[in-house]
Amino acid sequence: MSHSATISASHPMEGMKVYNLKLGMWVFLLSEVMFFSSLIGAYIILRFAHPEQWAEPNAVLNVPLTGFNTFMLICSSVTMVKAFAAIEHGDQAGLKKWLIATIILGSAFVGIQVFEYIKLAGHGFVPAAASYAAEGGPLYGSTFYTMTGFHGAHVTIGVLALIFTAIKAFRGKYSAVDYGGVEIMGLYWHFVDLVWIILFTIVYLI
Amino acid sequence: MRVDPYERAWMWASAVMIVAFVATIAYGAVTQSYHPPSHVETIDPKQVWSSPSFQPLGVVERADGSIEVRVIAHMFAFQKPEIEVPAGRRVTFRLSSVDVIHGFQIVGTNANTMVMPGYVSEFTTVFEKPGEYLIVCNEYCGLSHHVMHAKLIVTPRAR
Amino acid sequence: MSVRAMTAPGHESLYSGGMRSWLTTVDHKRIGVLYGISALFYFVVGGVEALIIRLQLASADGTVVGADTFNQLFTMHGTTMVFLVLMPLSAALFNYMIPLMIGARDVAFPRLNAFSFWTFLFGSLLLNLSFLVGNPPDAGWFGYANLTSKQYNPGMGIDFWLLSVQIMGIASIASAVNFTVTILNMRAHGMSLMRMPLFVWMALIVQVLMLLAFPPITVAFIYLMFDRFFGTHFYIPDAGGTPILWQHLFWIFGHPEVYILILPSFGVVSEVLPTFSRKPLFGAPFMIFSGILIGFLGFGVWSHHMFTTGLGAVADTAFSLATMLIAIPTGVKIFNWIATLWGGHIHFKTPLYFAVGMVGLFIIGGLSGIMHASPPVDIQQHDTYFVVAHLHYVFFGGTVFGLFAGIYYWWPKITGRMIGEGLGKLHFWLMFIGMNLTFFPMHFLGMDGMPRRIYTYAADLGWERWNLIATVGAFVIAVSVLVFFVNAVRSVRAGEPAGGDPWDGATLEWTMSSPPPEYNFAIVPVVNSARPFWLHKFGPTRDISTRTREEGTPPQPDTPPERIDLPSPSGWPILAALGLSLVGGGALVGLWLVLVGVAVLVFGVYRWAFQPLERLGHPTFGPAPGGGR
Repeated sequence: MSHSATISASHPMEGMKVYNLKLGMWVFLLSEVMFFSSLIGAYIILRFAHPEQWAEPNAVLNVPLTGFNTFMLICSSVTMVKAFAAIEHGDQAGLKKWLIATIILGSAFVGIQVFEYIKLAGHGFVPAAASYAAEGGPLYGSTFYTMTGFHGAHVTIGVLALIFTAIKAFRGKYSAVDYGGVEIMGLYWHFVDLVWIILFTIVYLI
Repeated sequence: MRVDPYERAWMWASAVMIVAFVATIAYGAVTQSYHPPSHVETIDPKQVWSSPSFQPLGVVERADGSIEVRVIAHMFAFQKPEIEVPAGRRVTFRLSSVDVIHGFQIVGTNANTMVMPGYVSEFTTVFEKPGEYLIVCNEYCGLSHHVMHAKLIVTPRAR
Repeated sequence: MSVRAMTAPGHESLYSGGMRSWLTTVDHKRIGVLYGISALFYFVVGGVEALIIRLQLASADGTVVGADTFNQLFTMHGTTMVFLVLMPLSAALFNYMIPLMIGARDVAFPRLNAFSFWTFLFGSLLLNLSFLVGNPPDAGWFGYANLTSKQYNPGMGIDFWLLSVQIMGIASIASAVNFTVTILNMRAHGMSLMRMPLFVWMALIVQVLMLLAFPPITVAFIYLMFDRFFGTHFYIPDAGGTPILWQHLFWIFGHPEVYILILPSFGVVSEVLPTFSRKPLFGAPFMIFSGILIGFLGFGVWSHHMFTTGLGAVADTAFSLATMLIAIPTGVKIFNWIATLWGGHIHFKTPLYFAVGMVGLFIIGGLSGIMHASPPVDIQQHDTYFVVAHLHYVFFGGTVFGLFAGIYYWWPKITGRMIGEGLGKLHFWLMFIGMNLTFFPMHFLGMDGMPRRIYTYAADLGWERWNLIATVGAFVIAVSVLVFFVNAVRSVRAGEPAGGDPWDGATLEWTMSSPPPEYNFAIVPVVNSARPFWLHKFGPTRDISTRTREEGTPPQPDTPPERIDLPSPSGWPILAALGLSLVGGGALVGLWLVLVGVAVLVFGVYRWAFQPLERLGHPTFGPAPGGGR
């Protein structure tokens, strides 16, 4: 882009000093914060109104398994950071390796969650459950499935996007000066991880 | 920064107005009880018809001389559809719905409340003027919302 | 698209090209036109729905339509006007004008922009598809639970409604991300935030409001969807859920939504009034801060829609206070507009009429709004026609008049032709008279106790006279809209060609031809003032707020001195939008269609992600292009 002759030195390039893709991802994550806040806020209201409908931790849900799942998701955030660090230094091989690792860990998280859902449904704990074996009432199932389900959907979409990113990495589309796509995937992935830590605490532990 | 004198004057005028509004509202709310009634009482919609607090329906006299009116709203009528209360006495309305959200507005007065399944709505008022008042459901509740109404008859004070 | 050099700027080739070029366009100007045409079409649809409603209510015991049809009509009228008319019409103006006003060549994410439009369009078609299958929604545009539950509304109407609004919500969020980044990151050199035109400022606030307000309603709809499709119990009181949760979530969105709807009009008025009074906007920094404050406070007032639900003294007081506080920045804006006109050299053109009309009518709507802000007063007005009067004064008198001011103002820039002044003023007067005839009597009807959303009423209630007058007014509005369309068609067919600057404007969009060349700016401008073009044309004397010795921004040259590369058209956004809509619509048909939709969506996004923004054969402008890239 060319400029006309009179560029005033006192007015540097306007803008947020953050390239478009990254600013866009931050802005999108802002709306996602509102989304999960609404889900969690409604959950808090419903739970305080009807605490008798909530089962004890571990009575219905498998806390140890999900705890391991949480650990895996946190590890995937670490591998994501390593992938980004790799491409920042132009390390193509490292980028590919760590992206694959993140995808595997993310997919495993989704897989284990699906497995958990199937087991729960087998015991009669479904979204519409009016009650579940004298522990927990209708709201317990309703809130559990919406919150973890939408989080799971976000992880799944993230894994899909990471696969696209990995394909691009294998085609050599990223470099030490052009790594925006990897960075914004990292931002999204860390956000998804952070939301899960909050969700795990309030849904499984409390 | 340089502020146009007219703008500065306007800023100050606005600030004064803000302070005046806030003070008026706070005064009204705190000392004059200038707020709509509120009442949070839950009830199981399936138990409303048989609940002791709604049996019997309609006008009931309380021990302290005030009147209690129990109304159940349903699609598409109020039970009871005709309510008779004396003028000049405190009247407490208690309402609940057995299906969807309804409204309960006594036209020509400032009685207007939502009637929600799962909750008991309650407000207290005094009717000074005798006469017949139309009660309408003003919260859209379905196909026959437009015919959901009742009648309030305020009888003159006993001499 | 082959390489071509622009020879005659303003040449209508901007809009030429067949269907394929329109389906794959990523040009913000074309997308703006697409939004505008869709919105105006739905304006007629929603208007016809309103006319039938008014015909039914014109007399007591009306028999024009039955109760169920009436309920469907007011539901569709509200949903159409809010989501299919007012929001896309604002989007049309944002799309077309924002890059022009900030000196950019397109938005930050051109393909995402196209995706937003097509997603909106398919969502709107899904909503209206409900008519074709004979099952439009009938629970009001606000769909209060638990009337919307499967138990009390077993048909598919509500499902059409919630799925289409969700889909359109995704379009809005994508748009909000796009325009936030565009406005923050792509302003021309020297255009600091405080030098940005007010229209762009209001647009920025609207985008932030959309980002923060749409997620709560997404959650509200998700809960409703789960209640209806999967048997959960969020809003079912029998099982511990509560209908009040819907009201809270809906209005946490709903109130910022009304500011989303009015701020663009505020922005238009802030552009039109200075141009036609030949004076800078009075107190521009305060206009900006007022807009920000309105946006911010708008999130703190939602329960003023719920004063009759028994919230409690503290909540009622807090929300009442916050609602009254919003009147302050709004009042600042109104008085600043008046001060802008004061002492100006007024040019009585159609855009000015609509802008001034907007200010006057919005004042009336704002006054009834302030009455609603007081809970004791609101108790008498809630769910009566008084509220209907208020909302139409602010939505019709405020938003519609403001947006028409913008349409008339930027018409020459967009079409390259002037639009008739005579017919324009006739449109204004008919619409102004019609609007007041229709909605002013509703204040009286409300005070007389006429509740909302009733399909008919008894003859002995005394409501007939005002209802009849309101119906007459509605038809006057209809005639005025007809006048507008006649005017518009005449202009496009044979209107007087407009130059780049028919109104002697102050901002950057007037520095290039009408319509603009595809690349907007031959030379990216440098901006030294909030009124850069006035500064160039008239010198610092016009620019009384900044005593600057800098230069203004000159008009654009006919041809670009250097090569300009634009993003290439792409078919993947429309395919992805189609996939998303199939996912939503598929929920009404069966799992198989949902899966087809997912496959189409994933495929579309995949191809989109792997298509570079520039490639060989994309549109290029300027001097002889060199060899391939």
